[in-house]
Amino acid sequence: MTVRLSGISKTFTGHHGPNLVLDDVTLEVPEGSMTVVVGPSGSGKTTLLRCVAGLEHPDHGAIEVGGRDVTALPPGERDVAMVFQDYALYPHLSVRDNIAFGLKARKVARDEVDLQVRRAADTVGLEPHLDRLPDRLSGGERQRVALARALVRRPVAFLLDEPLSNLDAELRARTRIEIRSLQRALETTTLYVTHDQVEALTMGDQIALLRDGRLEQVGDAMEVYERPTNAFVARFLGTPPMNLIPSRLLGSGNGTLIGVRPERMQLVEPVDGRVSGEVVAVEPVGADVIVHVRLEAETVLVRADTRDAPRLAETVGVAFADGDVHRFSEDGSRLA
Amino acid sequence: MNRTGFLAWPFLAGVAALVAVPALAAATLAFTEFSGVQPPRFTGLDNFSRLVADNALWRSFGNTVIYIAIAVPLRLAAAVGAALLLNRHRAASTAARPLVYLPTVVPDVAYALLWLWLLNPLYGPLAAAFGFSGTLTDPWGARVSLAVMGAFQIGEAFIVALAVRRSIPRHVYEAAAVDGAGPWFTLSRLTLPLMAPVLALLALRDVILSLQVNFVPALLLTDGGPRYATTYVPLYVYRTAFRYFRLGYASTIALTMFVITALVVYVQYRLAKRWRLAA
Amino acid sequence: MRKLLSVGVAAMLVAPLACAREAGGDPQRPLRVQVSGEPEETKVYRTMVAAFEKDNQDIDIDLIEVPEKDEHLAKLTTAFAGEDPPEVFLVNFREYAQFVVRGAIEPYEGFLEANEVDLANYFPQPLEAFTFDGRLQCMPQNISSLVVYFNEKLFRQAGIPRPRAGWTWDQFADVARALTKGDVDGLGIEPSIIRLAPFIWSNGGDIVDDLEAPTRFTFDDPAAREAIEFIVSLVRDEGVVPTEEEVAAQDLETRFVTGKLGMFLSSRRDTPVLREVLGLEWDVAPLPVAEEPAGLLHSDAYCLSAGGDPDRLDAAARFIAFATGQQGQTITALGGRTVPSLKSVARSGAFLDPTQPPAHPEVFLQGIPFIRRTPVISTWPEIEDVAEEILTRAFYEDDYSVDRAIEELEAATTPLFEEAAGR
Repeated sequence: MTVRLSGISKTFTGHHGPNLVLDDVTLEVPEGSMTVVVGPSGSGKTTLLRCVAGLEHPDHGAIEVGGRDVTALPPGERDVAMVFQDYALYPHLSVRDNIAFGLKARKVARDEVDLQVRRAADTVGLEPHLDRLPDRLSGGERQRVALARALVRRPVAFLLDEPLSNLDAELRARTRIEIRSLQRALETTTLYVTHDQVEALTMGDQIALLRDGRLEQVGDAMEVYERPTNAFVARFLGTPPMNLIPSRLLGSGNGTLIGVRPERMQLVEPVDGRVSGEVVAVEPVGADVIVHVRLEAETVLVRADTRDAPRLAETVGVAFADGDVHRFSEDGSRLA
Repeated sequence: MNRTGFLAWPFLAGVAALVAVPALAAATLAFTEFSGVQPPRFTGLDNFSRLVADNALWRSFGNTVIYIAIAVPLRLAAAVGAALLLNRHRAASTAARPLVYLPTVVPDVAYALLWLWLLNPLYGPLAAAFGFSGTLTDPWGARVSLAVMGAFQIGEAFIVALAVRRSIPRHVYEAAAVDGAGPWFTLSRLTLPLMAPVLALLALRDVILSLQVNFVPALLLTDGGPRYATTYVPLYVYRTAFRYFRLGYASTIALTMFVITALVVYVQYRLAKRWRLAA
Repeated sequence: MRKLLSVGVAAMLVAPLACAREAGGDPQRPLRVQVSGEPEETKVYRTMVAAFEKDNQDIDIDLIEVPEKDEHLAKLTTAFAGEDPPEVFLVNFREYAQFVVRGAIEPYEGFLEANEVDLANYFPQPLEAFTFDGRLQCMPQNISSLVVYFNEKLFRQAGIPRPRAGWTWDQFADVARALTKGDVDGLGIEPSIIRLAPFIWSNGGDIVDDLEAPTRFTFDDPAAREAIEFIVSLVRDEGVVPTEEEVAAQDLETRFVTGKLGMFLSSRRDTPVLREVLGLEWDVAPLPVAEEPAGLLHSDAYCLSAGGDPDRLDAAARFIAFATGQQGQTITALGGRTVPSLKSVARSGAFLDPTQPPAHPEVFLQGIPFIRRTPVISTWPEIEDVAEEILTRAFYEDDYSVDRAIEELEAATTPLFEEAAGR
């Protein structure tokens, strides 16, 4: 049961004229896997998800769910389930009735409904709260209700719209793992949208990067991280982001950008002939420090061990291996 | 007294002078016999015993109850229906909304005269179109006609219903759509239950209104007829006071209606509190 | 400080209410004269007031015109309740009971001499009507009976001669039948006591047991019952009267004006309206007679409000003398609305104007000697309303017999007669 998007384009007419939100997006989510669509805000990722759900209609292109062309079908007939960013729970219904809503709408028999609801609640650990109303639940509990509501229908695909963004940091980390294991256990094809690249890298079997409505790169975590197709992808993934240094600062002034990840750089003695600069900041991040080194107009970030942390205003040299270099042309596209 | 309380004084003074004082005066008149032409004469509870035995008054009260039973559900359905229909952001809907409000702002007398023409048994447009006559000359026809008249003046209820409908987040509807809920299911399990508390209060408010609002139509269209079918309590009080010169007794009836209305308002207040719609 | 300010604001708002009482006593205010009627009627009063003010420069009149009778009464009631009634008000005989019975009227009798009013110059019937407790209470302006307005063209087309004085009920019914065809109905008559009374009296019956102290209607007496049955049969069995729907769609007067009604029973008050209608050929005829001619008193009179300042009362009395005197009555007669109560004017060209319809205004005068009146009791308006409702059912409901109507009339009105007697 795959989800396939082919050539999806959508334009919104807004106050400032037409706005191309999705530009010829083609993406396939392999059966049983989770694809994370990630990108900055305004990139069109939520719109993409809503197109799959049937809440938006693309101007061009087709959507296939489980082998069926659902492009013209209303949301209720696509056999997909969606978890909204704000959970969109039915405020007047108990947890039980919230979960049961979709089943009742499809006229499932009462006993069957009770059974499925209990099972779904059990899966997400909501058993003790079945008769509570949403306003009496915590944020995390509400999210679980949204999940239960989605999975009770055993749809062909799950659509998750930034499900973690309303949770606090600790809960986020925990829930991430829960969602991932849940998805794996159910083996349901899942399309997951987020702006958080850490979530993308940790959760997705496949990662699709979206910028201004256009898919920049699709691939697994390793691929997109180690072989970004352009400067945007390169800088979007990874914390801290990859350094992009104009080549002239490194000696060869041919107008290209040299990309090296901070963790692949080392601090060395500022010997002649080596790239060096002044330390303008030292950020402790637990076991490591991020050292900001000023190279003329550019600042380069280097991840170093805390024990090797330099002092401010010190002059340090930076070194990196040739194999860790990514080359991009000035417009951002990858070179060789 | 805090600062904002002070700002309410002009209004409160106005209410006191124009509402509370006359109401109190009327309340005291309820225990008198007063023709307007001679000074009031204290008669104790005589008026109240007269009230209890007054068949014409009970008939009027029955008419008012009938009016409420027909008009309130009609008005509520019309207001909710219009609100749900005109909820979209399409140009046609936006243009139609003021039209829904229009009958409410037409002055009472003009509105009543318009319906007098509409309902004319022989020469009105309804008679021409459907050939039926006798709406205003038949007791039940008159009752239904006056109730239907009121059903068009739903401006305020419409706005409240629309606001309540709008306050339901869009995502909830989208979740229902993805869940596979059809239009009827969404309406009955989602929209109406979520609107229910406010609608109940609207209904109560309408009941209170309907205790008084039918005065002008009853006076102008049917003069309380035919066969007293549309003599509602306000009209009865008016006639008793100004045509039959029994201002004392009329005050008694008015006082009783006031107490009843106050009770209904109290019920509304308690319900609003229970549904956490009031402080 | 804040408290003082709020008290001050409250006082400012309440003070005008207290002052309202005081204003009533200002002697420099114009005299207020309140009348009611359609605009065609009341413009005549304006002419008369202007004429009075010209002759009496020291008196200012504020004429208050109220279009609807109900509103007129309501306004008067509230004015009296506020202890600030107009000095003079024009009221119909059938509504004046409320005021006279409760002592709201200053009897005009005391002002006759000072204003040189000789009652011998007036028709006795209206004077008698407005005499209560042995004293003349108000000065009547007009005296009209019920007449038959008829459409001359319809009569001509049906080949019917104009009705003559003394015509019988049978002839009356025949004429009504002959006129009823197609869209046209032969007769327009309202289901009210005041329309039935002349027929009851003409048949030798009575409407109440005692005119001065009535305790009940006497419709069960054979003569009265017969009269009621006659009228009801015209409506129900003969179909010569418009149906309830037709009347609701267009009232009787409008139907007459638009040529859908052959005959129409009313008092003088319809004359000004009918005069305005172009192309309508109409005239008046006396009521048909059973045993003796009979008419019902329609009269309006100017009354003085009791309890006023003596000087203002004198001035008001002067106005009333003018309004009901030669000059005043001539002006109102010219307006067409009134049959003057002053004999000289009634016989003058102002009333007997040959240039305006009706062509036979003397019909009104001929009816005066046979005029009778309804009782003067405080609950009369309610009695009339209750009776009208029951009579409407008798007219238009199929299974509602005259017997039942008479029974219900008795049951519904006897308590009201009692209530009036208790006053």
